[in-house]
Amino acid sequence: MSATDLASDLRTLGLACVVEARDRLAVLRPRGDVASLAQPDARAAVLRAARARGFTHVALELDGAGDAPVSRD
Amino acid sequence: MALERERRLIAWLRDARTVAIGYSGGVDSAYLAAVAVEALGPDRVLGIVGRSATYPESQWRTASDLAARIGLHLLELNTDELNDPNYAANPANRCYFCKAELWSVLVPAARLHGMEVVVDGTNADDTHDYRPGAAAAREHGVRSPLAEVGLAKADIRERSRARGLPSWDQPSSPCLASRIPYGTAVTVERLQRIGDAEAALRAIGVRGDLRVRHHDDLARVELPSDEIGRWLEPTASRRLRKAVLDAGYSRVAIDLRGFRSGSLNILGGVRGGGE
Repeated sequence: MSATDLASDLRTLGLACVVEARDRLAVLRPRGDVASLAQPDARAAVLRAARARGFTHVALELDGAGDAPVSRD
Repeated sequence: MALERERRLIAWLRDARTVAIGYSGGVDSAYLAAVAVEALGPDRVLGIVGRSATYPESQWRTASDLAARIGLHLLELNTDELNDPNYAANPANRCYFCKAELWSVLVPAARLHGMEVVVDGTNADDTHDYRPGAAAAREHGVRSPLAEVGLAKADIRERSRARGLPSWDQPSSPCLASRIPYGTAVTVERLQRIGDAEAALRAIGVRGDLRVRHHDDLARVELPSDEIGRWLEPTASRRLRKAVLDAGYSRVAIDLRGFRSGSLNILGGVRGGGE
């Protein structure tokens, strides 16, 4: 499992984030607009990418800046 | 099919004559209790609840309300699995030690109250999952009539609805320790934090299956998959995050797949998917 590789894969899907690996859990810390993740198809694509990198679970961290992740630029 | 299985359950219970039920107020044990009271009469059935920090307070209120509604006599006993180091260390077979403690308290109490057979709410689906607690039940002579007559979860929900039981669509509610990854110690403080977080999420309107999975400082929230999009919207996600932070976590994340029964079994590489 490589957090860096998954982050790179997610960038190609248009999702900018830092990936924190906790065993087989990938925690995505958004670094840009992730509004697309409100859509089931977008989440499915992320899950496929993570599975391909050996992760069984993917979670999107709700950021600490007071803004919800889907509203960030 | 479900009705036919229910008839077999009624016959099974009548053969047993008197039963003590390990009762949690969940879908399965509530249904079993309702059928047993109807089949045997209230004086031949005793529901026994094992109370500890792993049993959410909100569930106790639901369980006692439902018992009163169906005429089930209840006996409340304290269990102390958290003081068993085998349990508290949280190995993959943690449920064995929990159930061993539970049945070591409940079975003698059932005998004292004149109940001949002690039963639990294990259903036919459960027999396909990784359930180390089932071994402890067998060791204490506890029977599982729902499983023995082939009643699966869907059957139980269908028959519960037909009987007007409010539990028919209640989400599954395994003990709070199921939110803590194997190998991470089970403590009263962690159970309290998880319970508070889930109660707070219910209070802001989270519906259906919900789990707050404990990953040290991070709470990973599993929601029904069709609810995830709604809670990723800006206003909703702020409310969700605040609710979990107020319960004592410092970081909050929403699982992108959503609720999975036995999620931590999968994460821990343990076979089976049930909790």
